[in-house]
Amino acid sequence: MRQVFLFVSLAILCFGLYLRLFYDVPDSQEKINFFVSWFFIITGISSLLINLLWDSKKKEKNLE
Amino acid sequence: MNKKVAVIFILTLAALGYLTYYSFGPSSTTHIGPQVNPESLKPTQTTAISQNNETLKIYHNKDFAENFYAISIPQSWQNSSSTSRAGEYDFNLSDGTAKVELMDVPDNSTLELFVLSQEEPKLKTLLTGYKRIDYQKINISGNDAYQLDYLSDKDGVNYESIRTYVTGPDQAAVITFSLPQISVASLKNTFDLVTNSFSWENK
Repeated sequence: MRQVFLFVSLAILCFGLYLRLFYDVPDSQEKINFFVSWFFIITGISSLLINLLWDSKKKEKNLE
Repeated sequence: MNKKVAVIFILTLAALGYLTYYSFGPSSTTHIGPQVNPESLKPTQTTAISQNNETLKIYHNKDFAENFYAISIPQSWQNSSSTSRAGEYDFNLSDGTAKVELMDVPDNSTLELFVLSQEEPKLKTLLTGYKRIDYQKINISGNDAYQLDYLSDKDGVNYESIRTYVTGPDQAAVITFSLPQISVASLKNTFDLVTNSFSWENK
């Protein structure tokens, strides 16, 4: 389950980076592209961090 | 719940809130999207044209990296571009307006198809009393161009507009003259002069 969450987080982050760096944005849609791309990048990074932190907590419990 | 996770969750919500404000807030237009290059607003040379007894200023637009262009404009036309978007010029004539702008044409369409299937229907819905006078394919500085000449009604006055779409390396350029129909004949030569002076600078 954790691996699926990690994969989805990475996919969101990569999609955000693709929209930010490579997507050819039509003239009138720069604002929405700016918002959506940064939304995915922020969400992707934070969900990756959450995933890693939850992971470390479980490891600590296992060690105990 | 893990405290660190809660902190990250709250920080994410705050970041998304700030992102929304930054993207759609009152000052969003000043920092998102292409900006006007100050160099674009300074005409670099003047050329005296004896035929029409008119002095021309040459504007070099450098707002979009792949779409640098130059166009000559009569000195008497008042530049009102301070409020324009990047890649655009607006000019006030004695009784009309002139505008030069860049337009994104979808990759799956040609400029001519775009003009006839998207632009003209849009003009028909936007303008009162739209009526096409002429449509022709021309050549401007070695580029294919499509010129649409049409009438519209504005406050009970018949306005004639000449709109020229010039094929470009990335975007297309659109040059529009609009003024009361009775004034068009006297300025037709000047319009042709301005339109034919257009050239892409990084082709």
